[in-house]
Amino acid sequence: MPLPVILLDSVDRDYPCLWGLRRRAALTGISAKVAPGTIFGLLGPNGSGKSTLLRLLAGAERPTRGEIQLFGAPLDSATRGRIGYLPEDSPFPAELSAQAALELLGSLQGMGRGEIRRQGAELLERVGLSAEARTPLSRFSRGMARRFGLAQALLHSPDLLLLDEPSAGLDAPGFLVLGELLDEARALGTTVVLSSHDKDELLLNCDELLLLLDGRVAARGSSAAVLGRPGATQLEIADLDQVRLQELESWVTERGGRVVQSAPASRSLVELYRSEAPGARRP
Amino acid sequence: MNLALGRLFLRRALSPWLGVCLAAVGACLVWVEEIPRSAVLGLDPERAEQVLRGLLRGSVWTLLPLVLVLVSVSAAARDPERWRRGEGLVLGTRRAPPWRVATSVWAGRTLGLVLWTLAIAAAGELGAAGSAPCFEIGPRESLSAARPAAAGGAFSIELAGARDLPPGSRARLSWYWLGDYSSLETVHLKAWRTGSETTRTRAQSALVQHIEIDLPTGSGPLQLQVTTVGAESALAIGGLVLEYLHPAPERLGTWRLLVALAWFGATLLALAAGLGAWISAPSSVALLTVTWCAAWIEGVLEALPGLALPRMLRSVSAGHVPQAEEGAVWFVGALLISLGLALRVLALRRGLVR
Repeated sequence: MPLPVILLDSVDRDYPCLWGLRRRAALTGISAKVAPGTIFGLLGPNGSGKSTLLRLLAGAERPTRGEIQLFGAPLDSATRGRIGYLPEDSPFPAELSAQAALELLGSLQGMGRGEIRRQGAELLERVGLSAEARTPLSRFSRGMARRFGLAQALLHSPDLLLLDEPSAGLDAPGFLVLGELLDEARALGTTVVLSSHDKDELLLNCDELLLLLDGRVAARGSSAAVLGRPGATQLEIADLDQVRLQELESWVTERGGRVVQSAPASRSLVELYRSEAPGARRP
Repeated sequence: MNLALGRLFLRRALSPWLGVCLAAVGACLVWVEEIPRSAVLGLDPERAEQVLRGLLRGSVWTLLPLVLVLVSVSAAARDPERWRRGEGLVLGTRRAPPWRVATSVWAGRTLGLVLWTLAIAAAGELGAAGSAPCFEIGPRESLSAARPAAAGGAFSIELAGARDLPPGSRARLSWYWLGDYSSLETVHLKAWRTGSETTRTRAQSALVQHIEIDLPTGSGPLQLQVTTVGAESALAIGGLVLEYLHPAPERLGTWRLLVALAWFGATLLALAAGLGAWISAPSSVALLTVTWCAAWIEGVLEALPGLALPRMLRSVSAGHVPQAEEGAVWFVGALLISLGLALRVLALRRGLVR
């Protein structure tokens, strides 16, 4: 069995409150193993501890109790060099241009100047920001800042990618770029941990999901096991008129089944933008 | 050190708003503190010009560095807070070790402060518009206990250590009176060297309580004789201090101030960032302000960087070149900078939460 990329052993994280008189638990007893090349999703409502767990994995904070091992060793300077991290609020130095910020972040990862320039230009192109390379980050919209965040997280070709709410604020083309980058990471064998408070499409593509509620693991398994409704199946039917559909519903009912929802299917925004883009073929 | 991170904090230290603020304070200084030439009475024109230049340098070096240091130290103390609020998530989760992050941030901020200090020095020199040979304040010598100084009385001091002074050197004798000195008129000072016939004399009003005299050249021990003139009264002279003044270019004073201020700023910036990582930014600025103000007022902890600045400013304002800071100041400054950086590194190692 390959060495897990992430090993969490009974990890707790508390924060002091009331001037240090009390402590508030953000994470309690988190244990998990993540195998290399896995796309691992963290799911949970706001305040459930997803961002805290990602901060612990990125080494921005230390666990109060328990142990975290990445690549079979405690988090140290060398391990940090193998992690790409996109934090939740894109807190990048706002006065720097995208290019200068990449130079700064790359140099903190120990990359050479030429390598940063080459990789940076390529990644800015990939995320659709090459025209804005010299624009200060303070002038970026939220979606642009998220795209920049993706570029900086991938700059040093990390082995482990930590993405905190990566789709938040992204428009449909940005979402498309994110999907492509994740596909590419999967193909390269990069381990990805991403979080979302929403059941978005990204989580459906995860190999494994961890549901956090009040800082504790509530469920864990494949996306079908965690998000699936037991005994229910979702069908998408095309090219059938209304009369035939009613016949189908009757047929299901006669055999003891129940049609829970029947409504015209809508296109996702990604599909809509793709189909409406100039030069695109109409379905 | 990480150059890119240092550049980021240099850029922050060179905030245009701070430039506008300093320029505004400088403009107010020129307007409020303009000293008419007629204000310098009783001096020959060349010395009067020198004193006027010194006064202008003194005022530029008093207010502008105060604003600069306060603003820079407040900004440095807020850096850890900004780090905790999110910047640390992108800058502090990289491969660079905490000590490299801490030193780069400090170096960037310190270089910014040094550049502002250079700008202030340039402004001061442009305003003073001139330089001439003047005197550098050399070593101080305390001349022991009180001596009787009734009118008409005289006492002599032999200074065996003053053998190898550069030509053109002066001595400045200062003291305070013990008793009622209102009846005294003048103090006369005579200087000569044992085995030499050359003597120098100087008279000064008794109210001034210091007197300067050109020292005769030669290799013999230096002899000073102090004579008081006036009506009879019981009086003693105490706190006698002798300072040697050596010829030096006038602009050397500006450089000495610049170096002292830069070292003072570098120390405070490291301490502010270190303390700001553990307590709030306003608390750390207040703690540093109270510590330095107390040391200035009480005249204790003389090896603290910046403690000599008021004395240096007084010398510059008088048209003299102040003495360079002692080695102990550099040593204590280096210790305090290490302490500040160590506090910051420790906080970075512990993570984002205080």
